[in-house]
Amino acid sequence: MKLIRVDMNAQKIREENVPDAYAGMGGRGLTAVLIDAEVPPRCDALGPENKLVFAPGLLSGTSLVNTSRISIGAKSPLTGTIKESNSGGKIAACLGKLGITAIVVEGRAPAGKLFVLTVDAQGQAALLDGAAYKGMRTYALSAKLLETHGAKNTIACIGPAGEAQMLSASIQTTDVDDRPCRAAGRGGLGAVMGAKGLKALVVSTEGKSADELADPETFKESAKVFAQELRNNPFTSKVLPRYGTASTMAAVNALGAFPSYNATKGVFDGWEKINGEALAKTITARGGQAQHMGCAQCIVQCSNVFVDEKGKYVTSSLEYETLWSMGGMLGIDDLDTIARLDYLCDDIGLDTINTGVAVAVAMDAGYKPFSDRQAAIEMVEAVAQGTEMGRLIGNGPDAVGKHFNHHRVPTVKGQSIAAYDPRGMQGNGVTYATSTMGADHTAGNMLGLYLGKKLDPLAPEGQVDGSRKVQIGMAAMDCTGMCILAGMGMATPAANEAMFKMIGAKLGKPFTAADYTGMGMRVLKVERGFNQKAGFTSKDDRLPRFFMEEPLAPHNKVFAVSDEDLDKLYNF
Amino acid sequence: MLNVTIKLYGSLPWRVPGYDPEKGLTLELARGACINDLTTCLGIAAEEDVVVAMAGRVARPDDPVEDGATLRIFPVAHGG
Ligand code: SF4
Repeated sequence: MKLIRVDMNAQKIREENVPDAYAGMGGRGLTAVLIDAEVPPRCDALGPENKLVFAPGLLSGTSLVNTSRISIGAKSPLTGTIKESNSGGKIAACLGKLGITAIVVEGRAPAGKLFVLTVDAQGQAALLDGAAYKGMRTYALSAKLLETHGAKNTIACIGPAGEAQMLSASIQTTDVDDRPCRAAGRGGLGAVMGAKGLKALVVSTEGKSADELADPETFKESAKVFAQELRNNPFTSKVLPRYGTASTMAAVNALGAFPSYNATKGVFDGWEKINGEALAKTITARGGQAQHMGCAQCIVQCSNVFVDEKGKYVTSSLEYETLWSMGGMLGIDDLDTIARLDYLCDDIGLDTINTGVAVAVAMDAGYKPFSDRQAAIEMVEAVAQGTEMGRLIGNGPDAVGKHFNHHRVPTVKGQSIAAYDPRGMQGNGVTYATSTMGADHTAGNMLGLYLGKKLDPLAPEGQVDGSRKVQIGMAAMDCTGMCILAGMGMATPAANEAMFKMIGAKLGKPFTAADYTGMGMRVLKVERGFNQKAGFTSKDDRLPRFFMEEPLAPHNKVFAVSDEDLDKLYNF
Repeated sequence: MLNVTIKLYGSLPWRVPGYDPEKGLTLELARGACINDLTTCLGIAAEEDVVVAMAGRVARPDDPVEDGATLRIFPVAHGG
């Protein structure tokens, strides 16, 4: 239960016990309360007043499966709002096993200086000169850092995009096979890390000082129940391991809500060439891994390892959102091109979603034609070169839209939407508009409600209530360190109860369903409060006009939830 | 009779030997058949977590099957 504070101004490290005000919080909950308490809301997100927080979830570092998810938080330079971006790999479990509740990076290194922060097996942190790593891409950087510091470490790092403080820069984390292919992609947190002068965080995988559980027996029993529920659930035990998150593509295209060609069509003609089935078939035929454990302690294994025709590694993991942003949005139905683009983004340190959408806006504005594979690769590669076009792409869709005076820019608060069109899935539009994060599908995805026939995706009625409920649930889950995909297993009463018991067993007090919902509400309120202090009002909780004016085929609907209804989202 | 095209996703194609993902299946159903008749005919049990989409919408078990429709059947997904 300790915080490690890293002062980049003076390169000093200080440890402290977790203050009472932050006690019992983990993951997104902790990043939210800490940033709200310590970061001036109107500060320059790339200035020294901002803080970058690495917080494993409340249950990370325990024996519970699928809990190696880390929340990385700061004020976002992309959206200007508070931001939590979530990544997998090993780092959350490792920090948890070291008994570290959070690492808080403060201040800013002297101009031109670059550092690497290490945390050893005893949990001791040190700041080392990182000048030798300047300009390195993440794959070469991770390999070098592991060679230097030993294989029993895991890494969070930035690439050239982060160093150049580009607004779509990600923080990449290494997966179970030590590849920097997991990403805290959203919100430009890589730029915050770059602005602080921190190139990488290297954390020992050998920690043995996890916080003690208040009730280890109950925890152990409940963890077993939870794991069994995941094994019984068809989505987490069959669909995700076989087809990964790309399994979602059939559903969203079948509903006509797959934004294609920069959100001008709701079904992508070539979707069956890049869906989960095609992906698994291609990977298997080439000798790659259609099922792969991307993150520590994962029993779902939604990840994959994509290889080329000769069986050589290209990227991991090719996910639904990237197959959309680099595929459907660009009119590209070729898995090899999409895999190459995914690798480039990971290597340069870029959010695949924001970057794909930036390329889509450029194509829509006429800079290059849709479906031009080579042009897409060149635009992403240009980010690493730091050319003018590269800087536009690296700064995201808004920067590209302004440059070309193009009106169709699918962002909210500067952050691009994800692979669900608000006109075909109106509730996802509500989430994009009202989320404290800018447009973000993980903040409250309504797909499950639509497929379960609980709500009509095309009707405006009921969407705000649905989105509110899902956003509260997601905010709570993001506190736990549980992967949201495994979290879908919480659909059963037994899994739910097990989760509440485990949180109680960790905190040493009874924890109920109401406490869980209360935790989610608290997080959203704190985040919204920060945003309001930063100058945001309900007028910012709106989608771009074109979603209300340009109907989307095949349903030919526009986004029809009223402003008045959107403003009711935070009525709790 | 009604003529429909069925496209299967996830592990559903494994149940149909020789299934061609590009063409899908073509089926003839009696006039007035509903979605439930179709899933029964395909051997999909009611408790299986699958979704049938017709004309861009999630179909209900008692919805009538439209002549000439392409129906897509896939396992429930929750997004990624
Ligand atoms: S299901 Fe996928 S994203 Fe979630 S923990 Fe496992 S590998 Fe990571």
